[in-house]
Amino acid sequence: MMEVADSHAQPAGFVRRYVFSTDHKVIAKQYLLLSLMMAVIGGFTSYLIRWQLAWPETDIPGWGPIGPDNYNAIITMHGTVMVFFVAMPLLLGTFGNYLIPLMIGANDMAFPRLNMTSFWTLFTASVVLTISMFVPGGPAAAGWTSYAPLSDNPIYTGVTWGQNLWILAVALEFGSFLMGGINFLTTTLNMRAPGMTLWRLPLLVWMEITAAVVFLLSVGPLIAGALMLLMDRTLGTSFFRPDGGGDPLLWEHLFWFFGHPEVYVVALPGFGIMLEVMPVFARKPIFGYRTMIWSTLAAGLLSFVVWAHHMFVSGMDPRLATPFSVTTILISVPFAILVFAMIATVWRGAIVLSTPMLFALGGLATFIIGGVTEFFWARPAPTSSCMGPTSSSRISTTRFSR
Amino acid sequence: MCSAFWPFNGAEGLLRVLQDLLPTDVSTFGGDIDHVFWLIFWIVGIWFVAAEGVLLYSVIRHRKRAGAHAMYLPGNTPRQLAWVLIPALVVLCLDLGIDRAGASAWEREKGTPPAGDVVVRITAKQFNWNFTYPGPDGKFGTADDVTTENDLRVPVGKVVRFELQSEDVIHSFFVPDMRLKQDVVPGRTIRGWFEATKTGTYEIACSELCGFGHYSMHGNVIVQTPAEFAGWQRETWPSRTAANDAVKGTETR
Repeated sequence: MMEVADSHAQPAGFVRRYVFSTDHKVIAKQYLLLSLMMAVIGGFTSYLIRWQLAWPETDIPGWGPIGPDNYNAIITMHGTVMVFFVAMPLLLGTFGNYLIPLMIGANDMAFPRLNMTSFWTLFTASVVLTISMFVPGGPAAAGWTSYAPLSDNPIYTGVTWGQNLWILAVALEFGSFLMGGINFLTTTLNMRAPGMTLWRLPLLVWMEITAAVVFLLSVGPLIAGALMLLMDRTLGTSFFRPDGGGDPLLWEHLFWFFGHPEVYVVALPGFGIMLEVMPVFARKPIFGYRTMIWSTLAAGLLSFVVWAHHMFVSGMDPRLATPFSVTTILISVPFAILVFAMIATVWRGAIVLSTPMLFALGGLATFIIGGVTEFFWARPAPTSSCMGPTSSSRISTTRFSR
Repeated sequence: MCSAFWPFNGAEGLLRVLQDLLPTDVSTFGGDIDHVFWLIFWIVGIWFVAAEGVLLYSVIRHRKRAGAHAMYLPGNTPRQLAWVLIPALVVLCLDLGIDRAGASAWEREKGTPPAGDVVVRITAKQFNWNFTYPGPDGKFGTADDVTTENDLRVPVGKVVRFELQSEDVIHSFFVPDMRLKQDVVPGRTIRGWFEATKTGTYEIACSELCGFGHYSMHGNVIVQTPAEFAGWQRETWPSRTAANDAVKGTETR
């Protein structure tokens, strides 16, 4: 309770107050600023990609022409920046840090200094990633999924330090959100105001902590995988190199065991925001509050057993595709409940089409598109005719284009 | 029927436009896969229109107006929840239907392959497709193997069994016209099959990012009549006796 007593006393110096602050609201704004700065890089790479697709091999204003190797580096940076350095800091770091203590009636996060460390770890990761774009040999060019052995052996891409720094940046980013996730969870479980039971938590808080738990439980294997990849590149091990007895598919499994839950890590906070906005501007309570929470938890749980749907044609035993596509298709049930309940929340309300409401409704309409297209990618057979394993990046793009 | 609001030539026009979304299928198992595709298309298409329609209707019809009040609908009784749970149950049933239809198509393409008339080893490397035929003796690794670069010649109406190998990174063997896609993983031999139903030349496109030349990693499946294929074999494959002589020389693969 000591912390609680002084947490509202403003530190005197500028540095303690605005830079190395332990105040959750300041940290949230730092996350916002950082993610918006990274979004400039992510947006610029998107501009380069679109220009190249529209008018191949022409001079791109503000950049110049791009060749095939630049193009690979640019799509790699675009995917990495948008998923790990824009979507996550914005949806988890910003909204989670700002709103969780306010919504549950806590004075601050449970571990304010850990919160600060978490932000500055992410900042370091962003700096490392930005530096990696300017080192000799060029930035990482093996895709945001960095499949081995393309990412594993420099002879295949010619990229040396760029890929090493990419791995380091991503691993630091994971560490940062691990700390953040522990903070979200501890704060929500221990620091709620009297009377704020779990069944009274705002849905946004439920969504944020479900996302945090899903992230905590899925990221471990990939951190290990990232270290193994770094060791392959620098110490001569061969975890993912077939010529030394390693297996490239191991990387795919480690990556997607995290990569799929990651989709929900960034989806759920977005739902949370929509679910806070809709009842306000429809002048109605949430439809089926508890049902929504159970659906969210079910989706979070199922997200751990669907990862191999990114790997139907990867060379794994084709018989594995059947159980994974069944679980993938099943995940549509909790999400269908969420969508229907959102529609029911606005149904027969007194809807005010304010800007936040337009965004929330647009988000729902977009999510319906993302949801129905999931079915094509969930079945291995049609997947094999139209999609590659990068499908999840497209799904998440569809879902979060709001 | 053509108008500003309906740019197709009647309902049939719409169907034709939709069918042109996919290239014409030229493999025996492609039809099953397309069937699953269209099954999912119509199921989710109907749900899509229904869900967006209800949402749009509600947004327009239930706007805030003077004198109108929002309905109190917390959705915490089974009676109210039924409006959400029953549609979700329908979704579950359709899910299982899609699973069933999808599983058999998958089993046919990726399950145990039928006996092959032609066997070929496909070797992917940055940034080429090499196709090795076992030659007249029917065995790989002997001097009479025939290797072609980027052109895979196969007879129409015959089962072609292939083995995929990679020399460097992961590639993906993708023939869109046959609805056939299979990653090629270094360190593994991955087997598969196809049977072409129409002669012609069809594109092979590597569909796994494999380095700076990924964009140019093309090949062709050239499907020929059995007579043409036999003619090509006579011209380019060593004869049986020549092959036997060659075995005594240096072994080249």
